[in-house]
Amino acid sequence: MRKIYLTIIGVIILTALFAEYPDGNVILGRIDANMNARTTKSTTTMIVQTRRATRTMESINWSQGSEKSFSEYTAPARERGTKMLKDGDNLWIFDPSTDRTIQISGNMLKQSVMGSDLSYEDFMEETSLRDNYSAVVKGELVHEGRDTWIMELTAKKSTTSYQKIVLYVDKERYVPLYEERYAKGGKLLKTTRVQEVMQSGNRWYPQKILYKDELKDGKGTLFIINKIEFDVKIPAHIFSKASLKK
Amino acid sequence: MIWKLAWRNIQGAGLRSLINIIIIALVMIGIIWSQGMYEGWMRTAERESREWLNGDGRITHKLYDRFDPFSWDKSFEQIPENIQDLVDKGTAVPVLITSGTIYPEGRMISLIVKGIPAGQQFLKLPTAVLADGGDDIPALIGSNMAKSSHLKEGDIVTLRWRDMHGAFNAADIRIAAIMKTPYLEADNGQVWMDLERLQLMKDAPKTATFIVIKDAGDVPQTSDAWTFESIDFLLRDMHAMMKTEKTYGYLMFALLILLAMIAIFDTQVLAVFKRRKEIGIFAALGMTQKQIIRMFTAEGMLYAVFASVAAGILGMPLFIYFGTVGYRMPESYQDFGIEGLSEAVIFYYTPAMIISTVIIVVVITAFVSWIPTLRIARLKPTDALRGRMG
Amino acid sequence: MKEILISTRKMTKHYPAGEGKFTALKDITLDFGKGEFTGIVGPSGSGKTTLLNIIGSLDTQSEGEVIVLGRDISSLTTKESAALRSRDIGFIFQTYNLLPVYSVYENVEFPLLLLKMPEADRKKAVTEALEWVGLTAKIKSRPGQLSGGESQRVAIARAMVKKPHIILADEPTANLDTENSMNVLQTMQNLNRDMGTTFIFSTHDAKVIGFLQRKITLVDGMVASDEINGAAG
Repeated sequence: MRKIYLTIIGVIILTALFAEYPDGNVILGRIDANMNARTTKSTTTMIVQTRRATRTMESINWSQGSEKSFSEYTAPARERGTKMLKDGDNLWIFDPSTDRTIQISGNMLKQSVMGSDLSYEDFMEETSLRDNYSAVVKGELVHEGRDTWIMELTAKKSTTSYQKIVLYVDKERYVPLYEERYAKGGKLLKTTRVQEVMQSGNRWYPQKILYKDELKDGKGTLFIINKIEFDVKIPAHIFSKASLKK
Repeated sequence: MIWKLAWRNIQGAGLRSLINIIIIALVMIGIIWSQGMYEGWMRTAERESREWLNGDGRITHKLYDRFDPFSWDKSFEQIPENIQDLVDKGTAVPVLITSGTIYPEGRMISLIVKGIPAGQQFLKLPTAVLADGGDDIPALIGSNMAKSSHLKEGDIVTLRWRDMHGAFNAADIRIAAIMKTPYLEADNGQVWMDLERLQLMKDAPKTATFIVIKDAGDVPQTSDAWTFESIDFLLRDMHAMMKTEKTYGYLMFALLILLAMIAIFDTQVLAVFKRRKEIGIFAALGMTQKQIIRMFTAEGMLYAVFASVAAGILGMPLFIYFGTVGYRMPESYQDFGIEGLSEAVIFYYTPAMIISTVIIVVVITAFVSWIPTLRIARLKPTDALRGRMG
Repeated sequence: MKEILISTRKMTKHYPAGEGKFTALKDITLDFGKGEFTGIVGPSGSGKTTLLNIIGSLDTQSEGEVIVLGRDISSLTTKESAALRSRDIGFIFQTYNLLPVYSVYENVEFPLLLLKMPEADRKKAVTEALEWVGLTAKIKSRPGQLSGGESQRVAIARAMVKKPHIILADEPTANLDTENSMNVLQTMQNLNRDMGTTFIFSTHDAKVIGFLQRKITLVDGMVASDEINGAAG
């Protein structure tokens, strides 16, 4: 009998403790608001660190919501002029060496982008956490000097690629500093680690992010945002197939 | 009479005749040998295809396209009841297909995941090893796949796949066995596991992508979602490839025939030139030009006829050897992924191929021997007797 | 009067030679009777061989008329002239012209094969012919293994095996020594006598002259003389 009492008391105490945590879904909304802008224009550096070599690629990127994005690679020389256009569910790549535009579909979507830990599929993922997940704050943690909430996200629909995500979110800035994506069965598949954060206007934004496919060897792919502007005016023609060949 | 004279002339020409006959015989042996190879190769590939994967044809989901992994996410459905009856009887084997990724030693390899009932009997795949339960999922791969992925028996490797809804999932699979299969379509770039387990993993119970049928005679009526693919249909790529191969083969032999025929032609041109005095004698003795032409042509044809006999005698040990022991491609060729080449190809000869080869060679030889003799018609007997060309 | 087998009337033969033409035979009018043993003599280039070729229907005249065994030579088709040669005319050449790849037996047998004679008859006739020329021992030899005299005797056997009406012999002894020439001439004479075969020779060999019954001399394509040799008659 005592055991049961103890259990009940334990549950009550724990519930009380949880009650101190804010609503996870509200936090998700604030993350979305911070991370997603109407439009962005950025210059980025991607450093792919494989077992054998390290490759650095630079690109200029435009995006509009989570629907449309356009990237043009500027370095290294071998990749210069390569352009990538995402428009809804479609993805095209222009290869200057062959002067051809190809649509990435089928099995090609599973391939990695420029040898990185990101696949084209990952690029195609929807970016709104609030729409796709319901979240519970599980605890708090000082992560690399910042106070964070530990959040557990569960997919709302069974069709979402990652059914479970764990996030460490900066309590103050609403930037997810660390992210774990899990397989349905519970196996850790991918991690994202924000190494540096920058301030742009009144929002905080990740500046240096390390993506890692946890099933794969290697040090992962480092993604650095050199410069980013939010809510800039982007001419519509940027997101057209014609701009791939320009 | 013409044949008798032609025969005497061939006998008289001795070594030169023998060389011509041997050249033609070798060409004939080559042609029959290679045709026998193609025929044997095709039969081997067809047998392997039947034994290992395709049975007597299969009932396939309409949306399935084996070259488009995207289609695999849509191309499966619950096995129709009347087909399930065949499965229960043991005369049909359902297979479910999905795409996946494995990470052996941290490398990433995309592959095809195939589910097949561990208890199936009629396909040669050693699926019994898939039944063994335990914590990890037993899987079966072919030796080619083992080589390319550096996987060994007993290795445990993480497999990532998407369930039928699209969610990622991952689990460890154990390589329960590495099978040696000559049928590469059941080997390259794929891993086999138990059907029920894969159905569970996909969250798609009782489904299949195609159902292999043991006897095309008892294919039941199915819904519009399914279509019956006969063995011929399934082998169409191979037939097409074989046709190309054969065409190359024929081209090569056309070249060989050409060379042999140039030898004959040369012999004949030389003969007509060198034997013009003889032609004059034949004329003086009362042969008509027609008879002389016929005799020369008959000589050429006799070469081919004797060559046929010689080909039979000389080629027989070769034909028998390749028809019984067969020919094994060097290992390096087996990696090309060409069906029917990874086990010894037993050559197969049909009467039609032998008869047609003989007829073609005899006719062409006759034609080639006839052309130069047309000069005889222009030859005046008096000039011929003096050893002059007209 | 003997039966006439061959007759020529004002027969002329030209050959094209450069721009113009060369006249090999001019206005030849001759008759040859059955059983004659006639020589046509004259220097080289006098037209002897041409005359024989026309009579043997291997060639045709340019002008005039040639009747052989009742048939106008110039009107025969190639097939008819071939038939005439195979049945009724035998040839003997200066250079023997045996078929080198055939054996002695086969060479002699050849004309009979053209006549489609049955095997048994062929064998009998060939054996007989080879007995006549005395070469039964060499039946299996090839022409290359024979001496000149033997070769010419094989040629005679081949010419006579089909028992033709006419044998035309072009310089048959020119390549032979005296002994062999005599032997060959003797053989031909015997044939002429025993079988009544008509022989027409061309020759410029003095040894031959003595054997002739009739001697026609050609000079520059024209008949210079035509004499009956009583001594041989």
